[in-house]
Amino acid sequence: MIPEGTIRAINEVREAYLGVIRALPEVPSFATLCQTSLDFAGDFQRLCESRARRYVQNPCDGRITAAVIGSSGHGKTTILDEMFPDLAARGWLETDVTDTTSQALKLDFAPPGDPLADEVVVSSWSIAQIKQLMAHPDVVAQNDRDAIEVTYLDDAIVVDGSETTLDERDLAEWRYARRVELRPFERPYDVGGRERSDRKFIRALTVKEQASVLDTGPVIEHEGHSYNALQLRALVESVSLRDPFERIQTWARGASDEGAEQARKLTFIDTPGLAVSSVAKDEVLRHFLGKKSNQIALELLRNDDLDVVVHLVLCGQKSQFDALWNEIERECGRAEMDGLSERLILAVNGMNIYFTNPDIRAKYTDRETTMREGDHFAATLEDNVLQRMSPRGQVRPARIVFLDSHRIVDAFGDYDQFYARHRKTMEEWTEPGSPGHDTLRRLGILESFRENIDALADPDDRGQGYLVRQLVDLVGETGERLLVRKHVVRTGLLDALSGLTELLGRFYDSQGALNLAAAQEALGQCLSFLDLRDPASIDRFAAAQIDPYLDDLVPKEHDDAPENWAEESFGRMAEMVKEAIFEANNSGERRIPAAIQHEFQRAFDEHADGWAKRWGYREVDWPAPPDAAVGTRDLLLHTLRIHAREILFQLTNTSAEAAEAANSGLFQSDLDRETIAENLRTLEAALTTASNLTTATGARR
Amino acid sequence: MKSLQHEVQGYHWIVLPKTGIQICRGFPIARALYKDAERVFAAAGTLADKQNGGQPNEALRLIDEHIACNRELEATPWLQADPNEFVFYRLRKAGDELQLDLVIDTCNGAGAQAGNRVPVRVDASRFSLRRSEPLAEVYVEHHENARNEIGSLIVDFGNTGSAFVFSRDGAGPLQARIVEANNPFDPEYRARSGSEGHIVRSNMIVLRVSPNEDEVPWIVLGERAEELVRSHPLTSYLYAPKKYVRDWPDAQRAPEPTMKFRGVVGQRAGLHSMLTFVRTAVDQMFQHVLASLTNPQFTSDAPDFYPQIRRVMLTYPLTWREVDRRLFTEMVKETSLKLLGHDEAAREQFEVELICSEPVAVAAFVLWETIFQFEVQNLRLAAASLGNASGSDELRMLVLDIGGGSTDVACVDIGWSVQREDGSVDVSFQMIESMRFNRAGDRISHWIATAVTMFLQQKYGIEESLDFLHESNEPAFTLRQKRQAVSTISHLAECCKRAVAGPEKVWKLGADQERELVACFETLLGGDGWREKVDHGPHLEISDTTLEGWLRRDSQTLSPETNGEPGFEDVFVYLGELRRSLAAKGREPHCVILSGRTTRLDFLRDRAAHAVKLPVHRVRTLEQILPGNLRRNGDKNLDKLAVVFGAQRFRFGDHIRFSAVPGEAIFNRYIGTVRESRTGLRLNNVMIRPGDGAPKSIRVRVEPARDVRIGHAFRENGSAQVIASLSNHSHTETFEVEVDVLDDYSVHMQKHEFVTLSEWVPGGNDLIVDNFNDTGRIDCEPKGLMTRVLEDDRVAWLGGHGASS
Repeated sequence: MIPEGTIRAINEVREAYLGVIRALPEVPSFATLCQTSLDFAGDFQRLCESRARRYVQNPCDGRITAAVIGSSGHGKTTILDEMFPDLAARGWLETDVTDTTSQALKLDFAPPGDPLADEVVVSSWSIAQIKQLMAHPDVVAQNDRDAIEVTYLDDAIVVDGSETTLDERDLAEWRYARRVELRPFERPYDVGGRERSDRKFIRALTVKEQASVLDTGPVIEHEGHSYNALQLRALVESVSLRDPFERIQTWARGASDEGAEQARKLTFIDTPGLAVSSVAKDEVLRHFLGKKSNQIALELLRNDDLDVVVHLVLCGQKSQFDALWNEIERECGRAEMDGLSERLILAVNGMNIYFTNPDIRAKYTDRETTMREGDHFAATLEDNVLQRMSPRGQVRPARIVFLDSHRIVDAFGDYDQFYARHRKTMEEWTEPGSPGHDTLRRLGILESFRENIDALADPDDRGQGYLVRQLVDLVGETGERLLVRKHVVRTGLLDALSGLTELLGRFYDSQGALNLAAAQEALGQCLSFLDLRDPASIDRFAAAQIDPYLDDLVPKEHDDAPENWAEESFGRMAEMVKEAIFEANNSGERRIPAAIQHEFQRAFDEHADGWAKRWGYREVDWPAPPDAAVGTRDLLLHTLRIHAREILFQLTNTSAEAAEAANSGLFQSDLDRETIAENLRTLEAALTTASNLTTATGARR
Repeated sequence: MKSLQHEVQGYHWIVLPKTGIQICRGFPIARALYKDAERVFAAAGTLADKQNGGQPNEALRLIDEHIACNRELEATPWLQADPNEFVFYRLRKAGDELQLDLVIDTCNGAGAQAGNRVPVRVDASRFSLRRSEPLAEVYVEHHENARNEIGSLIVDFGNTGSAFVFSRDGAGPLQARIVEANNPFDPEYRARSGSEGHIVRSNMIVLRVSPNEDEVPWIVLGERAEELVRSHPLTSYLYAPKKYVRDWPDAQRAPEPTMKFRGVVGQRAGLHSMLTFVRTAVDQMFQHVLASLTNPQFTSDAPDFYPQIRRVMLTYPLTWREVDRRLFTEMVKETSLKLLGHDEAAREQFEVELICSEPVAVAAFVLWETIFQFEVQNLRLAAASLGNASGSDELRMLVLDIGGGSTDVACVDIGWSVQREDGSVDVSFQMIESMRFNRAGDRISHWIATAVTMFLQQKYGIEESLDFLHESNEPAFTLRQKRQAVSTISHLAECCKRAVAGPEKVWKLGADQERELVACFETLLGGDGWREKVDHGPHLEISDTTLEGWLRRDSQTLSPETNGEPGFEDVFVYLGELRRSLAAKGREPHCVILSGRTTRLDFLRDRAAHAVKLPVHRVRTLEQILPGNLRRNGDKNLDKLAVVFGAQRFRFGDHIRFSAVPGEAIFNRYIGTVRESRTGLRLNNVMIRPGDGAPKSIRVRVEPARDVRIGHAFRENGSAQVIASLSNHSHTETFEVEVDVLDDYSVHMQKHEFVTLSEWVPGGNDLIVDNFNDTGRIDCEPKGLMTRVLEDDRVAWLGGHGASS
């Protein structure tokens, strides 16, 4: 179970952040600073970007989503049909067709009789999402080739195949208009009572019908527009439904009562198949829809909607996950797939195939085949799935589960008799020296496979229940971390809190008072020997006054250097820069008043502490004393040389900003000061909470 | 007896087919001939006289004049081993020994087919050996019998030069082999700068071409090509081939540039698209690469190894559209499959991959080297050394690549996450802004060239145009002399840039240089009275401040007649606007990385720093990223090598893993139709605003027989750049056409009967038409701008003499 305290803490952090960024622009002194400094305003705007993230906007409810991803024809719908019989009875899981449409089915728990139990909500993609997919280079090239014209309006896209050069025989099969408008819903569509049980409506939304039975008329009317089935195929991102999770809870209860409670907090997402079929049925939208399935999974991942991924593969078939993986890496970066292993469950569907497929059977019954081709698990798990899933080598999922379905196994006779017959064989695979044993051990599932056998042999479980228990177990193990990572780290909340604290610290003290005048006076006077209009001015000063002496500040190879020699060297360099500034100010006739020097020294020392931390000197991990062979001393001299200049730049920058703000006649009232102080306190508290959360759960690696 | 027989036979020189022109210098002759060395040498000389005295053999003549063999050695003339094959040899004396220099074309004739043997012999009747006994034998071996190394070839194809890295499968990022290409047609090969070896210069001249399209032409690349074009001005010469990589839609075929296909020897009928020559240049470069990998010094008597190239990875410039990238990928694939010795399975697996854009490759290089040196656990210090003072896990790097022909500007947003468990780091790159200008080093050269020609006018009264197409008033001032003059002036411009970038910061035209320069115009001067003037004033002197002053006035805003073409200064105007735009979004760059040779000019660093409001320590050249002793690959050509190494690290970065993330699907610029104004191009009718979702269709009205230009700008009233132009070819009808603006730079339009759309490369005409080297034309874009500025500034560069003029 995910501790309530964690959920509460996440919500406190996000509320603190939202409150502060809402409040600050209302504070007159802060608003003036934003007006006078483009940099200040830009920094603040950047730090507000997290506000737009869904998981910052909406409270954390502790729900964990588990997406089932598999290729078309791997039996995903058949399994879900048995796991969610209620839903199947309502007609939302069509098992007798292969041409399903590309959208996600989101399943949340609602107890029977609950007012929400029958709720069905259809959500569409945003215009930006549709435009992005329509402008995919492949789609543009294919549309161009077939002379399908696309018009990008502000709130819709028009796809026009009136002049298309596609084959006439192909066109003769078309049933929909050649010009289709794709206008996303402004708000989700709440499916009315009659429609919820209307098979025709449900099929129009979920199945690509044969031309002979196709109705091209409007399926829904929404926000003053009507949508036919083809338009919905392109527009709909997900259909959200409720289900009593009866079997799910029963199975999860097998683990513990807590397990059943956790199961109720799961959101299952049935994603469209990885391979796309019957694109010709998509007529003028064929190229767009040909890309949609993967895009759904990609969008879910991009929006952090996938906490746990259940990759379902039919035994003996190859995984096509790599196409999705490549697409995700292309669109979102490699880091997006980081840590997938720890939240990945591989569900091998069709355990019966190990006994019914002669080629697979030979891999454990014929020693020579085993020697030559590897055992049945090596072939079906490693070769077909784990090595193919990622372009980056073998994936090691958190769990591997074998399951089966009544519907398929019953074709070979009674389910329990079938597994009673093969149970012994399965158990033998766990014995040392038996074919399969080494692979199970290598994959780390030798123990869990024994449990899995019991589940498979149980006709009420079929391994499906075992999958649910593994899911709940995995959530118990990693759910808290996933939640904190999703809500606090990946939303940028933690960085934003830290950035906001720093931004305020530039011009306000801890009591919320503006320190502009003093800072400007001190910095301005002490740095007046630098020409701020000349970008090379700092460089010239540092080259003459700092660089020649740097070598003496850094311990040499055989010196007796402390562990933190890098940080200490930085401190000495900063001190030297400060001295050089004083010297420049007190040469010849020039004398800076002692009070100004004192204020400068205070500001400088305060900054220097932050620089050492932010610039990484405090955490440098280089052995002491410096090693000439690996060049750590040279590197440090290099960074000190740069950072001597950076110190001067930071000071002049602050001075310039302060001057600009001070010159704008900035005045701070008591209320202004108090509001800033309060926001600073809120920020610091939220930052502490967020840091503790991420450290305790290991959410930030 | 058998062993003796064996000894008498010539040794085999083993070559592999389709590995370009192969040379083996100093190949030993059969041991049995040692005692007859003198007689063999004499016999070869006689045979050469006989061969060359008959029907002149043009291939042999080309080998004699151009092949990269030492001409200072005592050697026989070149001979052809077989009149029907491209196998050549000569005998040379090395102390008491006699050696062979051997040449074979492995792309034509017997050299192209594995299993062939070509004996190299002299006429036996002149000495005691039996007729059948050769000096040596060329044996063409099957690829698979050579020591094969399977791997990837990473290519940075550039306008001025290209660089190649071969990365063996399983090799780490530091084990990649940079290809040091040798030019087989370069008699001056010993005098060339060693550091240039890493770069295959891209400009090419056709040495030999057969009317038979199946025969692979002989091509000369690089500095030697530049030298050759002076003496063979009518030969097909391609300067900066990359700029011609462009997919021309059928509607726009008419403006596609073409050229004759003429060699120093031979020609093909008709005009050929420039793409044909790009293909030829790419072909030639691959031949160079294969030749250099198999036979690195041109001294190997057997292939060192054969690279089984399973994947070619390419970088690409920012401005290549999807279609251009596809075109180039296909071109490279075609060349690869033609040249690479793949078995059927390897052919099927072979792929050409676009790895990343050039600025991202530079950023990847900088990041990889920095992280590698600082180590993953010290990433914060590493980032701070590159300008991130906030301590966050990100870096915004603005790459300013001022190359020979174009300037690329790209702001890359870099983020990373460290995997503590295995000490690896995942780095993602997202391009948040980019722009390209066809204004770069050659524009600076053009300014200097204009100053040189004005100096010649003032001091020597030389008024004759150097335009290659302009008929000279003095018939004796021929195209060859113009080429010579242009070449000399270009060389002086390079000297000037080097001197100005050096510690002295000033360039003075020396007396010897002046004499050499004026000598090019001797036919116009009548006699040699001009020689006396050389030592007297005025003298040409260009300092960094003078040059900087000129460039600061090279701006579109100063010349309303520019037709939207920016000047060099507009690069910095753009940088300033970019900085404002990024600052307003809180995404200012942390640092600027200067790459490209031209950035060696110090004042450009200051100009860039000024434009982006960063101190100069945050604006660094590639050499300044790390302390000197930690830089690998030396300093030479780092500008060029950074791209190819960056691309290699991008793919094979070991524990530092890179990935590129597409940008956000919103517009960052104002986009609309543009108009001229007294302060340069401005948006006329804004149709798209920053933040609008991309793509977006706009409707544009085009009057009969008129053009409408579409452009973008950072500010609504700011300086605009043209990105596309619509032309209505109807003389009677007005059309309102729909144009899909896909992002800030890409425009797409469905076919229209009368209106055509041509995409522009923002930042200048995409074909560098005013290049002095290509045309000999001076100061044409816009006409007279440079002359006006230089006139105003005469005192600065002609001293006291300027004032009197």
